[in-house]
Amino acid sequence: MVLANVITEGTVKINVSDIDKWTLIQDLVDLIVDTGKATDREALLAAVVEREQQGSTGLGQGIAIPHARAEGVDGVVGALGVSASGIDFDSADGKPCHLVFLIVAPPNESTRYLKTLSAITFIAKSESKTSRLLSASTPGEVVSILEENGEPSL
Amino acid sequence: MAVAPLGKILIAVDATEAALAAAKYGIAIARTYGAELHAVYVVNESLLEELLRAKVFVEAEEVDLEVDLEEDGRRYLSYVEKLARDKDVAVTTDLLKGIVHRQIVDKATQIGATLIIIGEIEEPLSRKDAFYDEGEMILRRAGCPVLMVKGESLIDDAYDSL
Repeated sequence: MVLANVITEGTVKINVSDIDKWTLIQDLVDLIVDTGKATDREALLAAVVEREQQGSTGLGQGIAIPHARAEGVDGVVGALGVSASGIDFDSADGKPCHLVFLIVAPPNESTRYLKTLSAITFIAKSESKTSRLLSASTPGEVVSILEENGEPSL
Repeated sequence: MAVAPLGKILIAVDATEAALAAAKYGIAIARTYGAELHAVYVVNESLLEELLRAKVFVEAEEVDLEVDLEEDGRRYLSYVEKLARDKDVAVTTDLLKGIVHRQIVDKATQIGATLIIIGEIEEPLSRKDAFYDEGEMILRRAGCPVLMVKGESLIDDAYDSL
């Protein structure tokens, strides 16, 4: 399972601007619901919001990973919001977020869920990767960049 | 030179279908060669701690997930026990915590395992996985032969034919 199987073209929203973090979370949840991989939109949104209220998932360095586990989700599923201008996410470093990865999973997929979150934190450490994701002009291009994650660079 | 008999087999179980396939194959080998069978599930504490350090998790969340991983471990080990019982094979199971490959390799050393069986290594999620995968680390660090099991129909045939 590569990361591009978790975040697909249909769950990428580019050119995000003039929006607050709660509205973006709603939009990303809606993208996931639209794929048919989550059956209860309200429960999923409530789970993500509840987690976010316990502490911001804005990690700093322009990355946020709102996340939650909820019933009615089919496997580990993700959505990505890309914002060149940045969104206030109450991040650890106080700076705006440019890449917001929303990751959800059912309660019985703990291991894959953890691996997916870990993979995203790894991407967050790669400046070249994050800048390429930010420069992508289409959702397809974003997914292509995510697909490269399995290829070790020499 | 004759190959030593398969004395003790250790199956590395995680919460994947691939690990259950490894268990089926391990049961088939244990019964065929009269080997002693062990199965171990390791709660990946290092991954939980990594996500807490990265501030992805808050503490309460880490605790919840650790409990869930323990439950997953018990459930998967219980299923492996059933698979073994169905084929009249005895299996000893252990639920451990820590760094997965280190716990597996240490356990193999502790029991004197002559073979470790792991499930098929998945496609990497990220470059990190490409360089650091627990299954690959078992392959690298084990002090005994390691068998990575793949090929669902072959595995099912081996198990079903017992």
